[in-house]
Amino acid sequence: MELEASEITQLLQSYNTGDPRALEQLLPLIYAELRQLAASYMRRENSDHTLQPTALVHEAYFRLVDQKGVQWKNRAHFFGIAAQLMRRILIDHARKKIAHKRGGKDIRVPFDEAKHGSNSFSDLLALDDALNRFKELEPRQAQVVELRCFAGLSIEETAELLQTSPATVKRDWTVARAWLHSELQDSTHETDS
Amino acid sequence: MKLTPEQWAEVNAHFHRALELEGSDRAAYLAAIDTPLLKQQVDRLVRSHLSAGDFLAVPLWQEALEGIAEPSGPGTNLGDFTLVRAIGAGGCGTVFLGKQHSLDRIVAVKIVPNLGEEARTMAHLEHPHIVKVHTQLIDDTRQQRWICMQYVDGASLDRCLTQKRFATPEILRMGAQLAEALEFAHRRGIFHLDVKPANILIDHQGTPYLSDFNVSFNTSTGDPTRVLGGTLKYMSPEHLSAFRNEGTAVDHRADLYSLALVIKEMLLTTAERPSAEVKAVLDRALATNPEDRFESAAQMAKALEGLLELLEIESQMPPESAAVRFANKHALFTLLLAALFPQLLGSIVNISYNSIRIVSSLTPAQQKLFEQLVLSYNVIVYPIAIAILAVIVRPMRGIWARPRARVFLGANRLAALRAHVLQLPRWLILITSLGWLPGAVYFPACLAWMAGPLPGEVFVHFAVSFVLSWLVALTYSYLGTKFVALRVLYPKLWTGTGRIRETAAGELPTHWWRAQTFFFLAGLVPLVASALVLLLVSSAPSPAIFQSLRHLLMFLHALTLVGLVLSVRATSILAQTLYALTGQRRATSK
Repeated sequence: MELEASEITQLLQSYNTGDPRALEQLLPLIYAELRQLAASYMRRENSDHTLQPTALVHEAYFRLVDQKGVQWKNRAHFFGIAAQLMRRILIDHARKKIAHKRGGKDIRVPFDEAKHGSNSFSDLLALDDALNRFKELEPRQAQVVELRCFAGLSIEETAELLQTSPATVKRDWTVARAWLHSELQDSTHETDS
Repeated sequence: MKLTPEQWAEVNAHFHRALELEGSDRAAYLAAIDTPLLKQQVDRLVRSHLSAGDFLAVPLWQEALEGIAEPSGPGTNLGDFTLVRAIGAGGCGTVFLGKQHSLDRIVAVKIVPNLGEEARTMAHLEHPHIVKVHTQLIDDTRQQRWICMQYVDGASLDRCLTQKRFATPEILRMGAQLAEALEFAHRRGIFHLDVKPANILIDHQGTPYLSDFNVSFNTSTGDPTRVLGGTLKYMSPEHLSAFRNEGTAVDHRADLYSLALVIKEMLLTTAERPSAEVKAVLDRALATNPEDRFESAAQMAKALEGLLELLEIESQMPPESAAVRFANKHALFTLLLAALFPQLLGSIVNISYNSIRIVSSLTPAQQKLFEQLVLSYNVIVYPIAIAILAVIVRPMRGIWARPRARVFLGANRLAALRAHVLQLPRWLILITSLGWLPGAVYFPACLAWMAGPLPGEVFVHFAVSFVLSWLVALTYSYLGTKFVALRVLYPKLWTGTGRIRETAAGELPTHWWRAQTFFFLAGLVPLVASALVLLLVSSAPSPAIFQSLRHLLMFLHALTLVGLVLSVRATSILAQTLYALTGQRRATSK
């Protein structure tokens, strides 16, 4: 991994100094790593295995980034990118699952499958849409949601990465959560009625 | 309807303040917000907050992840290809043995993240020592690329290094082949920049293949000061500083450095220590400053081939006898010995013949003068001969003691030295003739001039005596120096510059007649000398003279025998040496 670690550190640094080309190169590398890690998590034969996205992102970070050469800013960038990618992986997956169920063999899927569990696939897509809208309203708060929900970071970790106080993050999180919740509720009511 | 950032900030402030309050206080606070739009928003958020429960309490992954990233593995299909089994993990991806169904062939599939130009780069490099790329597929679901390549049935060099000992010639051959592969890429503007054992495949026939162009750099698209990949252990100094973004540019010579490190690592597996020539070539490729390295991979390939040729020549050389080993160690001393010892043999013949045939017919005054003349002649002639010899040997001083010094002389200087070495026997003809032939005139002339009349036959005997001594000294010193020159000195005056045999064939004498004549003379001269001595001896010698005569004849016969044996041995050794050097068998006579 030595090669990639230094390469990715280098890319992060380039990205830091404003080279957009670096991001293009970074995304597939981190994406592949996250995917691979996620898969290996799922394979672990542990009855109470719980996938903690935060552990996954941290592990990806330690595997991919050369710890010695890294600056604080690179670390924030990495987690930012990782959170975006985790979100993308999840949403892509949800889309595919829904497409498969609708177009696949099992056509008699109950229409209100969205109500199965709080994190079902349709919910995910609705949440993704809502988050996109929220981002237009307040990008910083949207990023808090992204880091918390998709990269699994705690309030403290998020605060550290965004270089702000945990209290601020907590306030942002509370209001963002309330906003997203109301958006999702509205959309369900609309479909129900 | 959309809120402005300012409105949203206000909504936020109201929302948090409201949450701090309880029950009726909160309701009163909410009712007091005067802007209807803000009021409605805050109201909605607070209600939503209270009813959110565990909404988003856990990260959104758990259920969704099941089966999300089933990785590619044996049995995975993509297009025409199916993975069979993993055969290795490269720096940037996993390599599988795969099957291409339509063509029913085995391929190697390298799975890498969906980026980079590796396959495109390699597709343009069709060379016997570069892994061929058949095609590239993109796996959308996993965001990966499948690079389908020629399957090399063997192992990567880093595996081989732990399991196998290479022989030096094998290493040099593979090194040269890889250098040619690099040259091929360099000519197309592509630098590999990650030459290392893990990126070299060796098949069961020992053919090396360069692979993994994922770091490679294309001069037409890239910026040579911004190279992002490579492997620290095999990185050239300039690559390292480019890697650290220090603004240095990397060019094709970085690959030469890495290849030299790989060759060095392979040489470590052999039991023997690399020769000075091998070290010199590697040191050149490993120079810190790229300017000091080979100019191109082609040059390095040529140098490695030259080393291989040197090794082949060495292995074909006749086995080293104890005498040759001694001569190899003390080359110049042996050369001087070969030049001067035969002169001593000449002196023995000379002194014996003189005492038998000449001294007895001189008057006592003449005898006394003769002793003085002998002394003065030797005092003049030997130093002159030794001085000429010293001048001739001078250019070779210091070259033999340190073999490395020889390697750094440069091709031109070595060629000049070789020419010089080949001239040595001819110089000996000159020196020996200058030393002996004047004596045939000098002694009788001085005697006649300074100590009265001299019988006519004494002139003849002086002539016979000196010509015989000259022939003995000449024959053996010529043969001795010729042997030392060809067997000991000449073969060492090469570096691995390639085309050694071709050059040697041009440099070495194309005909053998001179050496042949001397081999013939080695036996004939003492034989003829003894016949002459017998013919010319007086009919009734005194007992003392008879004793001398007997010793001289025995000496000459012994010389005949030794001369014959040595010349037969030397002929065969030199013939083998010449064959090793030129690769051509030559007719021993013409």
